[in-house]
Formats: sequence, structure tokens, C-alpha cells
Amino acid sequence: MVAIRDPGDRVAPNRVGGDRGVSARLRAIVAHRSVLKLLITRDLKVKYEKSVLGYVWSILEPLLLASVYYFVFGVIMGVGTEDYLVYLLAGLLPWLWASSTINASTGALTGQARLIKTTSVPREIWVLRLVGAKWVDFLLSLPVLVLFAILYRRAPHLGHLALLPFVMVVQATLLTGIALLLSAISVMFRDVKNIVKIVMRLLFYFSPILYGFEKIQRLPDVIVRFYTLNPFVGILELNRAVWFPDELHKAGISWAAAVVPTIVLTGVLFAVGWTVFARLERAVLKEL
Amino acid sequence: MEPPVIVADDVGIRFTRNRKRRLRLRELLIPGAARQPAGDEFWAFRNVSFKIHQGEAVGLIGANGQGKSTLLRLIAGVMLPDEGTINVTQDVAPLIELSSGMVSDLTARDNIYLAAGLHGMPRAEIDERFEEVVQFAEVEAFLDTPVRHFSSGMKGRLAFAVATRLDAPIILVDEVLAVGDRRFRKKCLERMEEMVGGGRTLFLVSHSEPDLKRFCTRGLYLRGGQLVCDGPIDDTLERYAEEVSGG
Repeated sequence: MVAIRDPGDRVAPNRVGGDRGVSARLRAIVAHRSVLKLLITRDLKVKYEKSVLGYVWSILEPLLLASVYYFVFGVIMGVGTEDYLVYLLAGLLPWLWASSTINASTGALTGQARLIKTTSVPREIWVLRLVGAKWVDFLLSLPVLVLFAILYRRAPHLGHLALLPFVMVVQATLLTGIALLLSAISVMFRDVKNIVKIVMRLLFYFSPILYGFEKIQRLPDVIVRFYTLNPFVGILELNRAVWFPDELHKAGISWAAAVVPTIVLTGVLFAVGWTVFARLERAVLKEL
Repeated sequence: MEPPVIVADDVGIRFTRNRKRRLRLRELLIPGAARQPAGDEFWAFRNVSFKIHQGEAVGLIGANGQGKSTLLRLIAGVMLPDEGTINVTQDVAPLIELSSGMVSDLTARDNIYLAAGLHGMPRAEIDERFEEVVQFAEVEAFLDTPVRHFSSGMKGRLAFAVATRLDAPIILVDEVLAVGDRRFRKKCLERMEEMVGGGRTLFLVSHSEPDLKRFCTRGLYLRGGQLVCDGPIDDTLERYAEEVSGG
């Protein structure tokens, strides 16, 4: 005979979901943080431990991309800026965190349908796990950037470096909002996946990665306003300002001016993503 | 009397007949906008209410497609009711769709840790029970084999072993006894008996009258989207038998 343990020390019973308020949902997520940790460590283990070249694979993509862009734009076309390789990597790494998260978010629920249908952990966990694992990937890719910065003898701007954790939190929040929205919607419409792929590819060129925001500022006002609707503009500019502090200067904006529109957009997208996810949860569980 | 551990209050859930469900933007953003009648929707069941107390063993009876498994999923919290509320105050170990809870690319070992971890069991505790689970499932030789190479019987055994070692006070069982050979089935039944004897609350979906009679004291009968009978298991089975034979 097995004695019944008091479930008090275990994760709270399975009243998660439904028409519960934001705070109840948040509390359920916090109560399941150990599950979140488990899922993220498992993802990372699978990626880095099981394959010998695990770490190499994860930095190979940004390195190859950066070299190709460097070759095409810096060498062939000669439009690169000073220390263009570092310049590219500084924008490319946070962008890859964003694009890989957003592209994977369309499968965050559908890909885990089996587990979601048999466990009652708050469904948000499956999305947070994705954002978290990709965040760690991003952190692990930063040494590459530092290495090239050293090779090119670039010193970081300490003020902007101190800002980086905050910028990362903003980016993680933004990605969570977008991923919540897309993961739920793509259960209902399977086409979303393909649309997202195309949009992300286009957004790459409409984000300050190959070039700086100051190039956009020379264009007519309408274009500038439209361009800054992209919440990644501020995030990418601030990431790059760590190594190229003149960037913001050239664009004639302070770091605050770069980050305010991004924070506003992040807030809006997070609220929309959160709401849609909660509203669709019931239908999603039936559809999976 | 102690408060009940499962309370279903006027629970209903509906499904769409055709797969393509049309989504409206306001349904996404405005609460309550989804409550619109639609021709292609039907209620799996409605107005289902019951209270289950700790230690009760309840059998869920009904023909195929009457919503037995759906009701179990609602109790497990892996589906949400469209109307009414289900309150479960204790931890639940769902033994539903056993083998589908396994990730086929992971090894048996990883699956045990994942399944128990998802349930909120701390790692140290899983370590402690690991041997026991492996022995019960009889998969010692295949611990590091990806589960996709397992036979369905093996997968079922593994999942049953994990789920019953979670020590949850409420156990939901959905036809899982169909997996495994005669010997393993016997072992499962013994394990379930032990758990019920230990004061756990059991919810059993089965078409096997002997199993229902063996474990359950109370029976719920679902028919035509309604809970038509809630009483002692023998009475409920009798009513079901009468109706099936066209009485």
C-alpha cells in the first residue's frame, strides 16, 4: 500500500486555463516554473550534449551568414561600414534569436500536441519554453561576437553594455507576445506557418541589420514612420550601440528615443498575444 | 463529511462538426463573443453535475461517442468546458491515451523523467522511484532505446508504470487495460486495486463489466449528451444493460 502524500509540496492541482484572470494565470505559470526549467534544460541538452558539434552547429549559422553578407555587401559592393563583420554580427545575433523563435512558434503547440493533450501544465509554458531556450542560444552565441570585437580591437561602450540586460528582457517579452499569438493561431490555421516564414524573411531587410537606422532617417518621413513600426528596430540598434556607440549618434537619437517606440510596441503585442492565447486556449485544446 | 475532491457543476462541452472552424477577429479579442449559435456545432454533453468524494471509485458508462473520454479529459484539465465549471482540488494522474504521452524520439529513461517532471515531481524523487517504475514496466533492457522502437504494449506498460507511481490522490483510467498481455493486465489490475484500497479516488472508463464491478462502487451513465444515471454501480450497469437491449 502506498500512502497518499499531501500534494501541498507538489505543483498545484490542475485548475489551469479557462476564463481565469491574468493574475491567476500568472500564478499558475510561476507555480510550474520547475516544469519550464525542465523543458528548457532538456531542449538545450538535446542540442548541445547529444551531438559532438552541438555548440559549433549553433554558432555556424550566424558565422556563415555574417561572412556571406560581409563578402557581398562589404567586399563586392563596398557599402559596408567600418569593421563591418562585427557590425553585422552585432545585429545578426539578436535578429536570429528573434527569427528562430518566431519561426518555431508556429509549431510550439502543434509539435507538442501529444504532451499537451496528456498533461495539464499551463499551456503558456510550451511557448515560454521556446522563448527561453532560444534566449540561451543567443547568450551562448555572444562569445563569437566578443571574439570578433577583440580581433578588430573594438572596445564596448560601457553605458550601452549596462543597458543590454534590459534590452534582452524587452526582446524576450516581445518575442513571448508574438509567439503566444502565433502559436495559438497556427493551430487553427495551418497556413500561418508559411506566411510567417515569408514575413520574417522580408522583415530581415526592413530591419537595421545590414545597415544602420541612420540610413533610413535620410528617407522621407512617411517611410521613417512606417519603418519604426517594426519593434525590432530599437532592439537591434541598442544591441549594436554596445560596439558602435556612434550609431545612435549618427541617427541623431538618444538611446531612450530608440527604445521608447519599441517598448510601446512590445507592450501592445504582448497584451494582444496574451489575450488571444487565453481566448483560443479552449478551441486549441479541442483542435490539437 | 469532508468536502468533495471533484465537483462538476453544469458542465457542457461542444465540438464542431466540420474540421474547418471559422475564426472571427472579435472572437479572438472580446470575451464572450464566441457564445454564438452555429449550425455546425453540437454539444457532446450538457448540464452534467456531480460531486466525488475522496476514496470513491466511480465507473463511467456509456456507448461509444457519448463523451466518456471527453469528460475524463475535462477532469484531467487537458480540455476546458464551454459552460459550467469543474473543480478538482487534488492532484490528478491521468491514465488516458497512455502511449501518446510518450515522446517517441526520447529514450525510455528520458521519457520517465519527462513524464514525471511534467507532473511536477522533483528530480530527486524521480531518481528514488526510477528503479521501481522500470521494474514494473519490464523495460530494463530497453532503457536507452528511443520509445519509437517500442511495441505499443511496451509503451503502454511504461506509461502505466509512470502514471501509477506519481502518487496522485486522484486517478483517471481510460480503457488503458486494453494494452498489454494477460499477465501485465493482471498486474495492472492488482496495482489499481492497491491504489483504490489506499484511499485514492478512481475514475474508470471501461466497457468491461467485470472490471467496473471489481473496482467501482458508483456508476455514472452518459447517454445522448446527458448524465442519465448516477447511483450504485450495479444499478447503473443494470440500467445501461436494459437500455442497450432495447428496453
